[in-house]
Amino acid sequence: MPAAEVLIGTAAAVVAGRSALPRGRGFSAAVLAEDFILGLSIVVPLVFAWGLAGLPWTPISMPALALGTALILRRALPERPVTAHVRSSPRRLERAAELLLAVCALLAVWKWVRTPLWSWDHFAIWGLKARRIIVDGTLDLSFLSLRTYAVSNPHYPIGLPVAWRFLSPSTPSASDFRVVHALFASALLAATHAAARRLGASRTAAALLASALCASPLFWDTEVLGIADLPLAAVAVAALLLALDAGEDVVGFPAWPAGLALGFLSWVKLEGVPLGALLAAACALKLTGQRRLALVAPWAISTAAALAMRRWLLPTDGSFLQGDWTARFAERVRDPLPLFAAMLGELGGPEWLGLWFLFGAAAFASLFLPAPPACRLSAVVLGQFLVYAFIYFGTYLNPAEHVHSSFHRLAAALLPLGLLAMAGVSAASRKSPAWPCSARTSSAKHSSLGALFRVFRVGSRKPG
Amino acid sequence: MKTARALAASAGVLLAAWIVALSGSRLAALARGADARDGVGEIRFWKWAHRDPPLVGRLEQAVRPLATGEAVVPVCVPECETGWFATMALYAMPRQAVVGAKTVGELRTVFPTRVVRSRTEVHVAPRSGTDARR
Repeated sequence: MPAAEVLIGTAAAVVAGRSALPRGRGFSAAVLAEDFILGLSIVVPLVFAWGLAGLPWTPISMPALALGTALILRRALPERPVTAHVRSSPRRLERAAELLLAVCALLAVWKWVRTPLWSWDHFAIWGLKARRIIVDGTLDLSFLSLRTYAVSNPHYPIGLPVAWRFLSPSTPSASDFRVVHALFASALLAATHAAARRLGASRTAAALLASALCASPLFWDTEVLGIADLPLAAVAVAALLLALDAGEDVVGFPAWPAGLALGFLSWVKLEGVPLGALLAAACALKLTGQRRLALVAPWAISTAAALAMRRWLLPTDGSFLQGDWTARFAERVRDPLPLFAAMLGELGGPEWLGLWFLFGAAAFASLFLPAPPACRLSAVVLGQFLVYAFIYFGTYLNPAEHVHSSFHRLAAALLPLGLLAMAGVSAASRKSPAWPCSARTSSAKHSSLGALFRVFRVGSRKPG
Repeated sequence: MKTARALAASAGVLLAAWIVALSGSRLAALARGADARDGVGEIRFWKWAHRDPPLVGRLEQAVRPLATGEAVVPVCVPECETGWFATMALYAMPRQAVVGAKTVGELRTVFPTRVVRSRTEVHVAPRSGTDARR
């Protein structure tokens, strides 16, 4: 019964994540999203090692391993109760915005239910590996070196297929993939909404931004069903939410879970390595001393483990930078405008609802407003765009065709972070006078490019 | 600061109006049962990737009796694109050792177990002929 397996696996992941975090956080959607993503970040490397040791991979051993891990974590970690965020009853406008969010989410789910799995990347890469990686209850990576499987991009990280098989130990069917996709999507929406609130956005603005995410191609375009882009976004935003919780100076909320979740980005996709590094740098700036180390060290360890897995367990050839990429890069970079124009062209379509234009405006405004979180998130998104540009400049494929075939989908996964940058700007424009660090001591202090390198300012008043 | 606040509020109102209108049209399309595949990825790649929807199910059904690890060659009609067919076969047969796909007539003296996709159905053709490995 694979559907029951997914339910049990999800519950086990949530319990594992929850056991690593302070008690008393309640059971809101955002809290469960944090638990789920952190649980996968903890459990996936463990079950992968379990599988490498040749131990049985069954519908019983997987949840048992997660629950055993939860038990150990609960006993090993000190009790650190925190207070749940209090939700006030919504006003009329807030209720309308949350209704819009619910409608957008339901429409997306309706479309997913109606549309079969069809994406080439699902059949050739992510779904294929998820179905093949476990054979007769044993982890089997030998297929990755076979020429027949070259289409599956064997050098891609296999954390996500492992996560799928943790959640669905029997061979996953189309409906299992859809259910897991919906789980990641729910986690992403809840984390985006909660992170917008932590950044100081009003309840109405947070719901509106989450609705925009729900109406965007990341949810509406079924090309992303059953592939890694939405899970990557979910892990990134949930990790950011954990970092914001750790940075709120809530006594006892640890920073290491955020670091571990950021490290999990490297297990999900190749570009998770630079994205995790950018987010870890942005989050670490808020923290000081031990807490900064507590965030960076787990990120570094998890990322190093993912890179070691790629180096020693997966075939290394097949990268887009294979061959003499430096020569290609040098040749293309002499005339970079066509490639940048192609990338920008992918962001200008009506399907984005103008969100990338708004992001551009927000990123620009964040330089002049006292909005360091927005400034840093904008830098993360722009930095990741530059990573993609770097790949397109060096790719062995025709760069224009490469942009055409992938950049729209890749940009969709960065949209939640872009929306959170907007949330930061919205918060700065809303309650700037009340901000703790916006005292008019010097103009450079609250309207400066140096904000890029200053600490996150989350606002002293906790959002409801 | 007032200007920034006004701009942010205006952008929010415009965005909300756009999402409401879009959601309305999407709701109507879904309720009518109309084709709602208007995403950029769907427009660009749907036809190319989604050529034969029942194929994966038929392949899964056909190879169910085969043993784990059994070598299988997917074979399809001459006009098929073997690369696409091979990928679908790899997806549908995670328990078998799938060898590169061929078109009918490409196999000569060696006849391992084949999963044959004819114009009308999918079936398993057992190992036969002069197999050099036996």
